[in-house]
Amino acid sequence: MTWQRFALPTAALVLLFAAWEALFRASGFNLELFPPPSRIVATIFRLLEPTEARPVPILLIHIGVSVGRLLAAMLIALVVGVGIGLLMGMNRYVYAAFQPLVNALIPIPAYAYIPILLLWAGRGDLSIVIVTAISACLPLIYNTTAGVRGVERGQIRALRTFGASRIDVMRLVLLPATLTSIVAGLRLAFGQAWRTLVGAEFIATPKAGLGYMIFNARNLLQVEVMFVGLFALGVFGFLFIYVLVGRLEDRTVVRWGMLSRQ
Amino acid sequence: MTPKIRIANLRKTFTDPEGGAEVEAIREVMFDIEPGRFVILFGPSGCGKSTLLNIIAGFEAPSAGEVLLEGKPITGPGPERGFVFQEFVMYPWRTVLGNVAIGLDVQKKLDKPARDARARELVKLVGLAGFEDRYTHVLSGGMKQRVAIARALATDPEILLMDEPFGALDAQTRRSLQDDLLRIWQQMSKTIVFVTHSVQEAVLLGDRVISLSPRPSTINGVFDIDLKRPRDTTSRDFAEIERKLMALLAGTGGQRATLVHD
Amino acid sequence: MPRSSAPKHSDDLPAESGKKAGKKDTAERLAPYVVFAALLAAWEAASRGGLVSPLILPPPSLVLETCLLGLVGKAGLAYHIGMHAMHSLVLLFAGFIAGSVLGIVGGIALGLSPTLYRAINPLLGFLMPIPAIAWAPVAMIWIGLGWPAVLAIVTYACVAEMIFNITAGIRAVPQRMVWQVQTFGADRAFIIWRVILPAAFPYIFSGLKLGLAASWRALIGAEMFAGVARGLGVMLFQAQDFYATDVVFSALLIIAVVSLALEQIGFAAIEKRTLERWGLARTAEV
Repeated sequence: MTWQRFALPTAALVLLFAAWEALFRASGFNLELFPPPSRIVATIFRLLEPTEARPVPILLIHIGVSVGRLLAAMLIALVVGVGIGLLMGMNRYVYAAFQPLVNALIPIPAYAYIPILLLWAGRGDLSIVIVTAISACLPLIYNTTAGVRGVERGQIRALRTFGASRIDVMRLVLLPATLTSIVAGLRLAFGQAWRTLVGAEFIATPKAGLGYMIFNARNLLQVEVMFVGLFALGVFGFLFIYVLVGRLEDRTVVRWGMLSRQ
Repeated sequence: MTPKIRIANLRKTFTDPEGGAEVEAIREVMFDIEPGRFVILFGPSGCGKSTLLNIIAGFEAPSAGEVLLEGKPITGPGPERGFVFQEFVMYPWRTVLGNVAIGLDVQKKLDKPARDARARELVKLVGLAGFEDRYTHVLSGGMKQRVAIARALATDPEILLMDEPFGALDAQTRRSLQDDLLRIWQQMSKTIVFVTHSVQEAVLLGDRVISLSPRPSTINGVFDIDLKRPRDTTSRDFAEIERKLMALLAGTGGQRATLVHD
Repeated sequence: MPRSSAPKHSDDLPAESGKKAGKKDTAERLAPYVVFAALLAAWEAASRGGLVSPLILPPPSLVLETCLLGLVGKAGLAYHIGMHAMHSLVLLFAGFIAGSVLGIVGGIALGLSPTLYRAINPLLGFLMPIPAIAWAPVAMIWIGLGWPAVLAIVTYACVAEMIFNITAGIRAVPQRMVWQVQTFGADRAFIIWRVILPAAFPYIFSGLKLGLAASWRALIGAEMFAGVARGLGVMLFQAQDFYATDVVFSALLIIAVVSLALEQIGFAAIEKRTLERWGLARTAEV
């Protein structure tokens, strides 16, 4: 039964690639500027080859650098975002004081913070990681706050009758109960972070990274390299946003029956 | 007199979307529906009576056999068969009046003022006068079904198909709607095919009760009810018929009865 | 069994959720203003007082002054905020409208045809995680530097954000709504225009909101490197190039104001007349 599910999209994909290949080759355009899929695949392999000067293939280096920056930023964003979110969710005065600020920050494109960070921290990893962390932080704050505020008082009161302290309440009820919201926020955060990371790598022109690879290919008009970069972005974006968060969901929220899988 | 609707050798199977197995919903069903009669399709939950009604309505096609209307097989939904669903099907962007008038808007047989007037007539008929300009989200379940009935009647279909329309309502509302339905039926002399799994409802409303067995369904009993209207649910005769129906539900005393065609 | 100590002030319980709310005391109502004022005051003091170099962190008063000058065009052509803002907004709305139309049409096509959906959905699913802005260098080579490339990226960002929302909305329309009008004899046109589209409207509406946000994001980002001469993102980036920190901050302030305005203004009025009236208003999503 499942093979039928893949038959149609696979056919569509094959058709698309065949048309793309045929169209670009027949068009008479410069194939360096308008690469058909065959050239892009060839480029992938070329970039995956180790050389004498560089034992690790260049593509892997770029991927590693970008993924490394992303993970660093996500770690910061998780700690800061969930921390602030919990504080705001648990105290109505903190909430009242800072929620308007959070709401005001959310619609601002994270790219706008890059120039300031360039002035403060120069080009390079620090600026990129910080701006990526900021963009990932906000959805986490928002979702964590909403999750905490959604917790039923009954669950907390029950624990309190056993003499639980504030920390206990946080650990035993709030955190698990808000996990659905946090995981949902995590999905959004990864999306934002990935997006901001690429833009930051374009603007802050570091020396490595997928964004750098794509942007730099402009100088040599290597469009096929750009497509390899885009492909890598797609693969890893998919891995982070759907697979990683999906696995996480499966182990926590789905297992506890708080979220159903289609 | 040619019966209005003839169900001939009907069979319905479908493939279970989860397992892929073939499920036989209806094995063999044959009966006639005389014009102007109130016919009940009765049976336990999940026995395929809703599927049968959907086939009569033309929403689904049978796997074998056919449904003949005035001697001609039906090929899809049509204006001579009105329908009232069990789930409240409201168009929330239209007012009560707009909902009732939607069939008239489709058919465009009358000009706008005439459609308006007819819709208002029907709103009054079902007891919702004063709510014409309200949006449907403010209505209770019973009121929504009144709208649904008015809407189905607006285009004056000869046959009214109703799929457990009062199933989601509380007992009092149900009673009120049953009385109103009977009143409307006697006024307008339409043919009604009414699906229910409630024994009391079947005996209260029906001229003829066709009882279906659980899947794979066949007809396991046909009752003509001659009690005078308005029917007394507490009378001995009423209880007698209820007993017979309940026996069918419980699986004892069932007869495989198929109607002999004249 | 100790007496259950239900706290009087529930500040150790989660803050009241919006549903039970309404009972904000004075402290709550004043809190945001107090905090905001305190932060501003501290910032001003630190900056003017020399605690932090004003080149790194210009005082708010200076930022505001630069902003106001820039608005009336007295801060020099490069920082004519009104002009830059106009260029940005024109590109934004052009890209948003183009993207919305494509997104809605595409979403409807995918939503109505199960075959098309099954065929294309996985492909789209692979394209989605690629940030819209990542396509900008390709656009810059194929279309050339300048506003056409930026417009293309803004349009793409909008379509990418919207199309799944719209498709989901169309697919979520209950079959019974369609069956009901078919009993009256409705044709395909009636079904699409007067049943499916209105029924999917809440999704289309939220799709439009998301699309606008995505367009704005892509615009600001692209303006910073795609070789356009004017725009808020351009102004922001150029100021940084010249180390004019106060202009950087004022540009950021303007961008923040425009972001908020886009978020709040446009859709509220429409939402009131449609979704709220029909009883379908949903709480905001991030």
